[in-house]
Amino acid sequence: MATILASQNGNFNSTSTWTGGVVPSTGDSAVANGKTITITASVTCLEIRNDTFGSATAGGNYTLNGGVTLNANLVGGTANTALLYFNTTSYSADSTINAPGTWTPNPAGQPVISHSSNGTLRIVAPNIVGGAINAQQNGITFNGNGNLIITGNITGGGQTSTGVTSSGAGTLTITGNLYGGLISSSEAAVSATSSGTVNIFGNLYASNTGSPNGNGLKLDTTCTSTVNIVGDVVGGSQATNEGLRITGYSVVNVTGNVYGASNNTAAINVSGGVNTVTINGNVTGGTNSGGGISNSTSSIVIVNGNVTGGAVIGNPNPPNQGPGVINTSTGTIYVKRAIGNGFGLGSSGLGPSYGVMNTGTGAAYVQEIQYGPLGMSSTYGRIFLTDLSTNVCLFYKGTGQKTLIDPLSTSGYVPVPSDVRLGIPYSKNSTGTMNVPNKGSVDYGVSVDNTLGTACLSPQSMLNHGTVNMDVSGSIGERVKNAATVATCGQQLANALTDIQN
Amino acid sequence: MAIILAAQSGNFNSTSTWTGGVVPSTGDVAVANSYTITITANATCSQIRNDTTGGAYNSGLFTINTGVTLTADIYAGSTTASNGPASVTITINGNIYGGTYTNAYGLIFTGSGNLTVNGSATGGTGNNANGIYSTNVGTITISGSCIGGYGGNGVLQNATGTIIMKRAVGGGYGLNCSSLISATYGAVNNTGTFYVSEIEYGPLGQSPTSGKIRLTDASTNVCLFYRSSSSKKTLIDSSQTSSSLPTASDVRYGASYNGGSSTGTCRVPSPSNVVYGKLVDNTTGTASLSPNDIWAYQTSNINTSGSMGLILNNISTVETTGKQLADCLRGV
Repeated sequence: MATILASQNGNFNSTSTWTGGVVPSTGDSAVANGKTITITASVTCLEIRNDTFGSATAGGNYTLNGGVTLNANLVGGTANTALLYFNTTSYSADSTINAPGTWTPNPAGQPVISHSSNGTLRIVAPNIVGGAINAQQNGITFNGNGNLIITGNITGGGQTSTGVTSSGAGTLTITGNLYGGLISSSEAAVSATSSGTVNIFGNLYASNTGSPNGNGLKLDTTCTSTVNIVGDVVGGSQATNEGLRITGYSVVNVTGNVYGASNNTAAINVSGGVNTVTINGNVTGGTNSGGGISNSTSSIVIVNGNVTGGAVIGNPNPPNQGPGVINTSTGTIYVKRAIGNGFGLGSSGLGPSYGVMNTGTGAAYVQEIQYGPLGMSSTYGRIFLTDLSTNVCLFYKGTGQKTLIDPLSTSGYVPVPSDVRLGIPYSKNSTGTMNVPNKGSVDYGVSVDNTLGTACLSPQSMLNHGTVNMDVSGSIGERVKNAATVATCGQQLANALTDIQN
Repeated sequence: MAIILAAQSGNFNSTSTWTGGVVPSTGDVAVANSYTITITANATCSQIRNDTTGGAYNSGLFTINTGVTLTADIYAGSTTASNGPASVTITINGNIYGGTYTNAYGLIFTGSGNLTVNGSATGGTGNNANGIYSTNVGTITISGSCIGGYGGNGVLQNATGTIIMKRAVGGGYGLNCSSLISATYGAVNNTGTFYVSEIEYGPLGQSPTSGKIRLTDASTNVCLFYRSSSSKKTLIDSSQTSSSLPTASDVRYGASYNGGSSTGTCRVPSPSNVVYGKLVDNTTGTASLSPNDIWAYQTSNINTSGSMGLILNNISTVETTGKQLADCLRGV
């Protein structure tokens, strides 16, 4: 376990690169010492760093080639250069970094890792963090056309220093949770600024401590990415922090639930650009003025789930507090079901909150509305119906619920015409289309309507009919029934002989 | 049918209260003309109002005493048109309209009384000019609709009382609506208890209710929306749907409907069991027979239990009987 300083530029695995002629290995700290070191073959050591550790000269960096695995923690140490570059243009195979320890950002100005390659870099690290002190201390800057695949959580820093910034056309895939920066002047865990694809398998959390950009994920004004999130989006307790902030021109798909927070900002804030945001899950408003989703643009927000007013504290005035979804501009909202919150007679400490609010000049569409359990209205402002046979309106009575339905509904109330006898009119404008033949056209013994078929349409039915009617008066069966058999004849003869002999 | 202006404050039924000395009656329009008119006994006319109708001065107030039934529409002008003093029980047979200025209510109802309106309540053009404004802790029953106006709500409850209405209707606010129209609701409940039988979104999508609303359970409950195409769609009580549902004997066997409370009993055979060409379900029967089909099946099932074939299997023949006789005679 030694601290080994580079003595000249060169290959990591070359003895001539290192002071003392020993290549750093398991347990050793490799210090760049102002030199440029290329990693061309797999390396395992305690850490790689470029600070003054071991009385080294700050600076220098490492370049990771394609097809190489680096097993080492990463310790940034200078404002002048990234610690490690992945910039190969002769990509041959995936490269991997396993960094199980603490992620240490550079002290200023540069990321720990700069990925500008068309290759694939896989990083496994428990928590990638952005720097806290100066700008652009990103944990990772990804501006390549290749792939960056991260397994681990990511936490934002401060002063525009993200955990990861994606500014290229490549694909960023993260399996882990994203946490907005924890310090004051916080920054997002992940920021996307360009056209690349972003895939996240994990939850997005707004910071509960820092502000103003403590987002789990921030899609900047220049972002044209397609973003796929499989996980929940959760707002924070600090003003201006969102789990997901969208200000560009992105297509965002969230498969998970959205939870508003206790501040005045929504969990998802669509506050700039023209985006299409689809939520395949439920949305719940927050406990303060921040809702689940806020759209103050001409963007489209689609929620294929329930949208419920939040558990607003107190009795807010004006009432636009903690809505599930709020549309304040020219955008359009599509919601499956809008649900009022639990405010009402007998509720305690709770203010009114609507599932869907539309205070802008855009349109809001719902398929279903549901008043809250204590009667809270589900919608506020202008709401249109998305016309479906499954439309419902659910109220609470003094006790119990009641659901009003589409009179042409097929959702369990009205049978489809193909299940109703031909020509039978029902339910306003429907008529049955199901042909039911008369029993004379149906095979013998087969169920039809409320009886059995009588036609002889199969050899089996003929046999069955003949068998069942074997003894019918006047039939051949009746005659044959008492025909002599070999056995009966024999018995009769035997009886006759016995009589003679006696 | 005359427009009759008040000449001074006083009792509605007093001739001295009215210009010309004529108490307004059926078909007449009674205008407050800035005076305060007290209605102490049942009264009937076409309208009571406190605007400038008939060249009257704006304002004035109709105060309705307890036990009174007023049969008239109520129109507010620039101020509130009528009130029910604390803890009265009154009945209005007519419609109530908010006025043209801020807080110009059609009727303000306070205290702990009971109000019955056999008609509708519509918000006025003035900001918060509600048709009915309640600070009442008693019960208000409205047999008709409560409709959001240009600036006022149909009815607004600011106390803990109960309001029971037939239908709440959202106002005309919406995309491309007149700039004079605000977002108003049929029913706004801030602190009381509301019951509605029907709700109706506005033609441009304005929500019909604000605050906490409960349903008065009836088979006539409806919820009316507008589609973006401006056409309406009405959701109804499932019992209404069930009344027009087909009988179970006309529904396919096993098909569940009516919210799971009904199941079809009509059995439909498969096409292979139906005469060739006969309509069945959504197709035609396919059953057909050939002599060979019948012969082959009968032959292969010659010994089926109970069949004639089985009986004939051991039947005596001339040969077997002859042999038995021969054997028997030899034995003798």
